Amino acid sequence: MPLSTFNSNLHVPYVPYKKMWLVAGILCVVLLGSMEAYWRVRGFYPSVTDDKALWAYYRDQVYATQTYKKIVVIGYSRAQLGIVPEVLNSELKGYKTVHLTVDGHSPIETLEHLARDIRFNGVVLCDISLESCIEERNDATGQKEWCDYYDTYWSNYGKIEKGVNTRIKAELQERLNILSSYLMLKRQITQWNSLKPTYLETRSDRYRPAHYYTRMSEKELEDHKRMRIEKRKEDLREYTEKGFGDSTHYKYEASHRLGSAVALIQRRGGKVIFLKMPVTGETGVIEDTMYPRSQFWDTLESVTGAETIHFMDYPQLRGFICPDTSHLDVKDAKVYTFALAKIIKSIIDISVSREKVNYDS
Amino acid sequence: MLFNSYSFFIFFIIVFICNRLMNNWKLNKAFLLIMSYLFYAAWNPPFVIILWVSTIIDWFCAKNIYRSDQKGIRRFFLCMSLVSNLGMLAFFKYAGFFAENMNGLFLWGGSSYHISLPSIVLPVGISFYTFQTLSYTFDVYKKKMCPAHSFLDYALYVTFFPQLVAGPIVRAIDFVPQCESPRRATSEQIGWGFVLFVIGLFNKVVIADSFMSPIVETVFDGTGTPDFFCAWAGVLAFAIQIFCDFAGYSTCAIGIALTLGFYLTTNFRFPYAAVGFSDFWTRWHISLSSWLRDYLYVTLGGNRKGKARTYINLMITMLLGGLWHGASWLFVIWGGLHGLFLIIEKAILRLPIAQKQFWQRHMGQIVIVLITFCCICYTWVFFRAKSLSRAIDIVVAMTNVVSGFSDSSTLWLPTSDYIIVGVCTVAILVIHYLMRHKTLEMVAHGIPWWMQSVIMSFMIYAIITSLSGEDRAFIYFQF
Repeated sequence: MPLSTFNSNLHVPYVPYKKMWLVAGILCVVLLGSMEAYWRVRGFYPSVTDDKALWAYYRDQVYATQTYKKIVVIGYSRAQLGIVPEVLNSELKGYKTVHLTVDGHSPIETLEHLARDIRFNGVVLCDISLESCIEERNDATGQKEWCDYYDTYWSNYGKIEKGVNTRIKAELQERLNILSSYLMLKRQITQWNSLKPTYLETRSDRYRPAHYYTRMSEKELEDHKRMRIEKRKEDLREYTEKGFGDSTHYKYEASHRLGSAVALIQRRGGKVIFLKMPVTGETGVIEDTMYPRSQFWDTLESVTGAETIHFMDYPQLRGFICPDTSHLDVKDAKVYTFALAKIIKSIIDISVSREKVNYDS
Repeated sequence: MLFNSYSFFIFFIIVFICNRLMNNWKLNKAFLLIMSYLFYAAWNPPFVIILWVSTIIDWFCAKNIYRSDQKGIRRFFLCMSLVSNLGMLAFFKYAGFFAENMNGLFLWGGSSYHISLPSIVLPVGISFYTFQTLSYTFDVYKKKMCPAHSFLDYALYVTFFPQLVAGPIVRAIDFVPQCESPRRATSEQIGWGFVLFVIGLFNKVVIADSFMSPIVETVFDGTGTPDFFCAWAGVLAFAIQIFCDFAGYSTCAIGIALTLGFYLTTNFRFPYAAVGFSDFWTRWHISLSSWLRDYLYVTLGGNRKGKARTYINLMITMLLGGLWHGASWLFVIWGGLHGLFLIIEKAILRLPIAQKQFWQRHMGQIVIVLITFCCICYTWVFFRAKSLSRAIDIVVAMTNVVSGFSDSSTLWLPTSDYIIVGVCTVAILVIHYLMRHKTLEMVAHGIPWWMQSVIMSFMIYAIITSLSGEDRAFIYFQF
């Protein structure tokens, strides 16, 4: 006999459901369509939620295929905003760009994650901050959370369903404001008056074009720039008080962690290129004060065995103005990426010729 | 595969269309079974094997229990079912917990012996489907039902995707007969099924994930010390979150099953309108509480062996019920607190003051509802906190009114969060109280169809505009 909680006599309410759902559907489409139009008129642009699932989806795309080798960009927000995938792809024939950058988190874990992956032998373009190599300045876990997420949820066949879901979500979010996390219902209710278009959007390939000049007022840009400089000044104060910048320790970290990862990747036929993205104004001065180039950046190549590209070493990479002193505007990002692609190409071509010479001899 | 995912949307459209198009009932059931396995495999394909093992063992055991008249043989096969199901549960869910506690004991005893912690992935829904298949063998053993005639029907009962990974824990006696004769969902069942699905998703995606979850995370997972108001905001938010998340999932499951022509058991009956803890457990996670009552509490003797034994049986049932939720002493504490409150309630009901007419009137009932709700909130702290110390911090803050007016808090919540929690708490208590003797179906009967259209369209709008955040799996998936 059935349980007393069982609804075998469930009376489904009598409602003209076809009519009800038809009207509900029409109302819903009208509501969603109206809100989408409203956000567009107000100047909002669709943006993808840059969550761990999206990162894991692209982490899975780092392997060479029959048609393409991969160039994997890792690092911070400077690279995520400053390196335009389609420009790199068009200049580096036979390569496809994968963005594994995460803003505000050290990429060393990701570099090591790629190094441990014996299937990976592509090119790694690593936007490295020297602070990551100094223990006391290291952010606690870097990109470890993202790597752990990938290892837990993406390294088995369960990733097929997650990949489908992530891809559909990213494609839809790239086209519709109503799906943007910035315009979630909770924000609409609690921050209606203060909601305004942001200068930054995230695309489905994780590149983040920054529209400083076209979507920010002069005052907003000035405030933003000042905030960034203040943050860096605070870092400098901390640096001075605690006496960071022990280049001995840095060299140890660089050679052991970075050097080991570089060696593993390059031994498999891959390539690692450390990149110093453009930084201007007071932020640039502060960073040079904290980490003098001669003690840090200039030793990176010899200590790790990787190639390095410092924006000051190439005329075509100098001369960009970062509107907030730290990141490139979308228009400059395209020009910068174009110039960077040519340099990368020459590095890769030299490597290929060297390998060919070694093979022939 | 989560109900609030795009992949599930595609999956369900395929299942629904094929279900409608197939005229052959056996083929239809086989199709539902295969799709249910695919649904489960979406998490991690190898774990389907565990599902098969559980299904086959209990099918075999139930058949042999039914065939034999000898008590010894019947008990043997019942034990086989118990050992295999509970063994799997113990291994996957509690091995690490056991090892951790043994290491703690060794350390306390001064030994340097150490068991290395096994790295075992917990199969999604194992707590649910093992209990479900166990109920089948128990019911056959107790002669409440005959084993299913068809393995297909039985396998579909175990694996039916709407309830596979987070309940309701369906009894075979309720589901298997539905498989025996061809069924085709009527347009009313489909229409109402979709209504339930939308209501469930609204609860989960909008209220639980979008509104409550960030507040809960700030209070429970933050490193700062909450004050009185902050602690209560976090706990009330969690009370709402866990109800909306879990009841939301159950409502989705019931709705989806209905669109395919199947009825699943009600799992929640407006639990925050509970008048005392006994009433709470007839309203919260009903399929689990009735399982524990029928197969554990009654087996231990129930209330048939005197007052003291009743209290002991209650406590054992609630402690194990707590442990079922997770391999952590915090869940045991949660269960223990519920056991304690149940015992206190039984004791209070014996007192003369409990017999007064006042408690039967509205005001009296409201007072008891509010007291019950507050006590339930205290227990939720242990359910959600990640450590005992954090739980204690929050409980202490909940009791320390003075802290709300000092500057002691190092945790900060925006005013809008307090308002949201306040409004949602009042709303949920009022709705639950008004609905405590009703069902959604009864209420829907009284709402004009055009108003239902408006409500549905707003709910769908709210769901779509809340989908974009970080994917949060249903809370009960971790069980």
